[in-house]
Amino acid sequence: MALANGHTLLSTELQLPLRIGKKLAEGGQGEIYQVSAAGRSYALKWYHPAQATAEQKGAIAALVKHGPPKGKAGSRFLWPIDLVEESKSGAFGYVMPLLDSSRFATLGQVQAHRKAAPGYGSMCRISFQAASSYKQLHMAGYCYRDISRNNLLFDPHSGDIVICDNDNVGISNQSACQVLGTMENMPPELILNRAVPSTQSDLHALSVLLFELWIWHHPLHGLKEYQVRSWDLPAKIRIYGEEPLFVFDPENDSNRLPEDPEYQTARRRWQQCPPSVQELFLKAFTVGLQQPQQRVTEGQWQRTFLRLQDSMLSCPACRAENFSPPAGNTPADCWHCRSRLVLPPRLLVKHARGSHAFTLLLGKSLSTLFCHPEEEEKARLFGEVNQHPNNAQIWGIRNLTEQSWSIRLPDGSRKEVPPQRSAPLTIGLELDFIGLNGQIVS
Amino acid sequence: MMDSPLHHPLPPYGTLLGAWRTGAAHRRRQQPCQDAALWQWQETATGTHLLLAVADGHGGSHYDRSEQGARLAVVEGLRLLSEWLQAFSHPSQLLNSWRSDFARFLQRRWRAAVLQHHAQQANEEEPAAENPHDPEDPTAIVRRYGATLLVVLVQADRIYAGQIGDGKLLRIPQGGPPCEPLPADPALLGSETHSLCSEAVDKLWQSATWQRQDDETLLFCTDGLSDSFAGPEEFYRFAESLPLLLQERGSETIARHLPEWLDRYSEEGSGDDMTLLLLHPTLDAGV
Repeated sequence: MALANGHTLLSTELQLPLRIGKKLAEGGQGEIYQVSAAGRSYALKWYHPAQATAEQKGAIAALVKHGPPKGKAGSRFLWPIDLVEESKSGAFGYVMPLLDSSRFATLGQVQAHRKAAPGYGSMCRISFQAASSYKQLHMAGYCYRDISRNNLLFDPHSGDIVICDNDNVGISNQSACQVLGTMENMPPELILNRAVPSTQSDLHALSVLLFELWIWHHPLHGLKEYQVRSWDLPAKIRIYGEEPLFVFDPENDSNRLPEDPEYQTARRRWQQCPPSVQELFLKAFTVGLQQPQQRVTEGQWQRTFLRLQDSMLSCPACRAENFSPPAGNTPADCWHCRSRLVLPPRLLVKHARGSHAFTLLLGKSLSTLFCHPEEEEKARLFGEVNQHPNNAQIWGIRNLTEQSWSIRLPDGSRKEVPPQRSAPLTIGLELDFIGLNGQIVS
Repeated sequence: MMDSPLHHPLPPYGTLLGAWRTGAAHRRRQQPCQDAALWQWQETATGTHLLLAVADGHGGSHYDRSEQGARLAVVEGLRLLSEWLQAFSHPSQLLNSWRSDFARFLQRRWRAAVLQHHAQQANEEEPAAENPHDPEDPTAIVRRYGATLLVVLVQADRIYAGQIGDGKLLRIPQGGPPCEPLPADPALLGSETHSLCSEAVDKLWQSATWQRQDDETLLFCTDGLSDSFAGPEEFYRFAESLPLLLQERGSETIARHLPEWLDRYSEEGSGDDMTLLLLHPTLDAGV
């Protein structure tokens, strides 16, 4: 039953007096209203009678009690704040943070040209944050159960994300399988009823989501799906469960993309996809399809997208964002205007897990996120590429930490770089900073 | 295709009435109506369903077969929807397929129907030398049939709507302002529209679903009608006046007058073809 504008409802635990405002959306499960309490705006999801089950109410109450996953990664979930009930009718819903729909977009809105498309840098941030947030959820013992393009919204400019529809979240390996939901994001073992939703099934759905984000296509929609005339449950079970085959499987091309204009976008975007991301998609949709333990983990996605983001460069001709070509490769051309790319100097930093490279572009901020991508809140900006105030031709890296850096110049001389001062951007310069060692390379 | 004017009681959903008319500009140029509309009634194990489709052929020299394109669009749209009603008996499966898959399959079916129609017409058409279109290029062939499509499924408790392009669908509550579940794309200017002949149609599909309200009138029309008003507010005012008018005058009376209304709007407004369908919740036969 619809809620009347101006009507007031009291939330169960926090006793928030929620004044009903305009209806924001309506879907299969219920309606979303803007509500206000004590001068703050929230969103209220109000279930349709058929969906307002005791089981659903219990699940929401448990989520409210537990609270959102921890940290910055956890704060991206529009997590239920409190239950709201109408005692007379038995209807209920929950209050959650209000989404800024002018800022955030779904992939569908971008594909329909209703919202701006994110650049490559933003794509990396969106992908990193999605992997990071789902990892935090999994570490809290939950699985999302319905990861899909409809539940992830992003700011196309900054790459910040929010994750909505969190009432589907359940305990990993303990929840009933909602096989009647979004089948195209489920792994074969769930489609075939051989497992219950878990972190492993979420990992498959996350890979599908990232593939759709990067390639604008479903990883299993090739010739097999193209030849289906009657798209019904048996057909879906065959494509996603019984005979799943990646459209870019290098060993078996029987489900390759059909020669039809409908598939041009997917083909082009796959060609433009960085090799390191292609490699993970290949793993996720070949060995990972049938072997849940072999699926790409959130950490692998995080590290890959962070590396890509920190090594972006811009085209000298059109300023389009480009990925750095893999080391040792021949010089690359801009994906947008085809001009030859000029590779800027890089700061190569060694750390406990290996090494990490930053392209040194003017104005670029350098963050320690690569040291502990699983704890975003620990990340700090340690440097920024800047110009000498009196000579724009001289570039440097400003020390944004609170400790002095120790640098060794190519001639062997050593120097201290105090906070807020800059180390010269010179090929061969070595840098000791906050317990790390870096070198500027060409 | 349906009769015009249409007046058909459809318990328990109310009365379906409507009309479609060749636009004033088309009449002057002796061109046919490039709109098409179709409805059907379907019984399944889960209940009785009303299926509706409205299409608008683009017209103009590049889209010289858009009349057939619109007709094929409503036929293929309802055929696919009818099959899916049988295939997906659970609401969440139907909803998911409607959102994610309908446009992809619709485009394939429509393209196949268009290419088949083209092949059938090939012998009857003017000699190739006089035909400005490339007879071999499927993309160019499909473009000639360009049309928009609005498809709606009405069930006892739920309504599904989806569209490619700029058809109009309004929910008009009793005594409240109308709302548009499929709002226009703000990025498109003037008469620009997405089309079944566009690239990546599945990405341009807009869909919505909501609980059916017993007191709500639904309005479906092509942009010929909505563009005849000075702006969206005037069109909304027109829509808002309809439930009361239908109640006072009776749906049969209104249905009889619809053709002349549409002719007048086309003459004084857009000049375009016009299709208007109304699903009014009452069943009275009129004054």
